[in-house]
Amino acid sequence: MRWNGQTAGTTWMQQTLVVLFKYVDIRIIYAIMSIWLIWYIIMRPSATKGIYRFHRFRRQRTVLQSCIDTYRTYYNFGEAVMDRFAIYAGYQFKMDFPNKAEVQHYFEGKDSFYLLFSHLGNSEMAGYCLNTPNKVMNILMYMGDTETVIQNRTNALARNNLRVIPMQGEMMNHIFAITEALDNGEIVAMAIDRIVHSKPIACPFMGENALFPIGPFRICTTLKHPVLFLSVIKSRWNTYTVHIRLLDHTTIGTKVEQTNSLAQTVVSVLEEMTHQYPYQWFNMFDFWNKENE
Amino acid sequence: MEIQEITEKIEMILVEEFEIDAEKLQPTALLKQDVGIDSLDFVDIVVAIEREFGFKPTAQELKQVKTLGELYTFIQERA
Repeated sequence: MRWNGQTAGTTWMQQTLVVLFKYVDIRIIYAIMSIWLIWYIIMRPSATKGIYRFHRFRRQRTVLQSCIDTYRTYYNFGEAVMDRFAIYAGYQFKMDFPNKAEVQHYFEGKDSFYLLFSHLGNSEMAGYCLNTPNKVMNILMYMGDTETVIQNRTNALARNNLRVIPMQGEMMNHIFAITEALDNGEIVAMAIDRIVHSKPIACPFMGENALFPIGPFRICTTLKHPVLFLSVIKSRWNTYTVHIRLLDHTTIGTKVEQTNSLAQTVVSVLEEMTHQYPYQWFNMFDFWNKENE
Repeated sequence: MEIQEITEKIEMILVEEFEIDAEKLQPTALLKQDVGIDSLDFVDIVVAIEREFGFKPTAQELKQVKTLGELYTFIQERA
């Protein structure tokens, strides 16, 4: 089963949340969500089994521990989703950026670069909170979400010099939008763990081969620019920590070898971060399921 | 540039870089269905055209190109 690219909830529910955040303290909403989640996890085992299996088989947790870890992950995921709507309503989170000095020149310079991210943590927050006044950041996004999420996201991103490159169907438009952005010295941000309209590549991840989309790695190896890996981890109820790392990007070997090498590098960094923050692994797609191959 | 020269260069790129069987490379072959070029391959094609023929095609231009023969003609008109 592949991810359908949608944020849960109807348009009406999502619009209500945006309004709610303007009047209600975010911690009250977290508390209500923590109770509702118990019902959700019990009633939707098919939806939550990916995370359960992640803790049970990839982290070798016991059945009981995996159930608790699943709740913990979903609670964190719920906060991440709520925080997104809080941002749409104008809420500001604190952002820690420990190695900002090391990577700042990429954001302030004239040259293009790739910013790869995953669904570990809440990478979308970087788009709203990292201010890049001198550089447009283009985010490749699958447009399977509801109109409310797409419209709110586009509005919130536009405030911070960010642009969405919509990925719709098999059209080439997004490929050319990426090349144009790179020609203009802009940032191109792409998710590396959503297999949507892309062939998969198998990489060892959390103890077994898992399937990742080949697209982002192919683009990075064809149109050569520095590749940075981003993770935004929630460290307190109102604080996120931004982790950005420059990745080695070999230019030796055939195109296929270079693509594979970059994929392995990125996935190994992701694995390291996932071991560090297992309760913020929010990718519900079961990468290790043989049926996905 | 002569169409023959363009054909030879493009065929060489498709065979060597894309590892496509030379027998598939007929002028009437559809790029996606017959040759097996996907949207990501178009990034490589744009890079190869820029390198070999000195211009960069746009998305709108390449969208009009359906067959290999049309690709050769398009390059001849632009190069």
